[in-house]
Amino acid sequence: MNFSSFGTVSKEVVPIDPRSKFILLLGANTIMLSAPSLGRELTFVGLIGILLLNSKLYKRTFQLVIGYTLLIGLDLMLIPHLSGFLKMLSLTCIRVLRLYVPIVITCGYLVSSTTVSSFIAAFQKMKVHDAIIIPFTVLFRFLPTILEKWKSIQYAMRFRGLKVSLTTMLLKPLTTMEYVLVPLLMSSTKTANELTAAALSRGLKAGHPRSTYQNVKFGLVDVVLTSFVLGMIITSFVK
Amino acid sequence: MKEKLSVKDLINIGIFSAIYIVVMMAIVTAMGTIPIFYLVAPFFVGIGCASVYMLMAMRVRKPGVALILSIMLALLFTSMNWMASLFAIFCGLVAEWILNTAGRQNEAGIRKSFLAMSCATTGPYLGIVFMKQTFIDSTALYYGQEYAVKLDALTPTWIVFAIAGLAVLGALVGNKFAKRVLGKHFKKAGIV
Repeated sequence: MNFSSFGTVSKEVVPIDPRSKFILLLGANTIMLSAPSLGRELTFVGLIGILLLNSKLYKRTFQLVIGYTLLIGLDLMLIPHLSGFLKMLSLTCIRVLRLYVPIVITCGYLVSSTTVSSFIAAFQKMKVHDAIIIPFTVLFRFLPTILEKWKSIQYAMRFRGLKVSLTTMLLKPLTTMEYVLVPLLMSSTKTANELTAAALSRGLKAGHPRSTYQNVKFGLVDVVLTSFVLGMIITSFVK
Repeated sequence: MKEKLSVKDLINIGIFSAIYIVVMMAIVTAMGTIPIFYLVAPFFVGIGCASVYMLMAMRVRKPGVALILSIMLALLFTSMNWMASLFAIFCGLVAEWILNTAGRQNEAGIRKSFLAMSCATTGPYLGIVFMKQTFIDSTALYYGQEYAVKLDALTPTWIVFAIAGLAVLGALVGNKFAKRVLGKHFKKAGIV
């Protein structure tokens, strides 16, 4: 999963509320893991495909279509001809992959088609408590920073003749971990203080509901989409 | 006891959850390259994340720390299966309860609560148990009972308990490590 793409703006043809995307992800989980019939599976994958095209995520659509067709083709064409242990092994691998591909793609869709600010706006509309919203925002803001810090730590280690590699990981796992974790935690505590000062000076503590640039609206498309997904979830339980 | 989390605390929690998640993901992906090691990943996650959790709980000594971390984990786990998310929140609640009963100033209590928190990593493996049943039902339909029985023998249910046990074991080792590291570097510097 590529977190650094989180927050890039992607223009959608029909704007879709982050909340319905989240319900879609839950739907992907429950529907795919409840041994769906082929028809239901294809319906759901088709739905995700349309939504991906709607967000102009062409590369992901391509991945979904190619990956899924390949797996389902293998499943239907190849497996009936195999036998014994080979059959069992390939069936397990291919089936499990086939069920997980839509879930992973849906997650990627949620992350790369939603900006952080529209996520926050949706959370605020759902009346989620600040105790969740603030850590969540900080978390996504901080993920790229950690990668940067990790690079600097490696440079600093090389400067002192140390390095992180497979051999050091295997031979001295705890020492290696100490060399990496301690500077990371140390500088992060500093960043926490700085970020707090910055947030306070922007009035995060004021207790007044914050306004957002991005407006989220639960429109007609969302109502149709969520009721469709919820219907699929419920029927997959009842079946 | 009724202290509320300030903005500073929330930002601290956000930052340390980010580190927790990155360390976890890094270890799991490194282990995942060899499928057998994927099953023992929670052990190493326990070792790696102990110091992050300890530092967080020592900097924010207020109710809600473990719970918010577990909610962040739960949001991440929605990409795998929803049982994992529920389980993560459950682990967070247990950790929170341990912290409350032991007292938040008590370092041993923090260490004990990490044993519960560490189990949250077991969540994604719960899929093995739940998914297996539906998978076996459907395969029994297509390929006959014999195949389903074979498959059942291949992935025993107790494996999840073994993984949870490994997670606790990893947390124990991690706690030792965290105690040493925090004492050596952070207490001297006056950070905690």
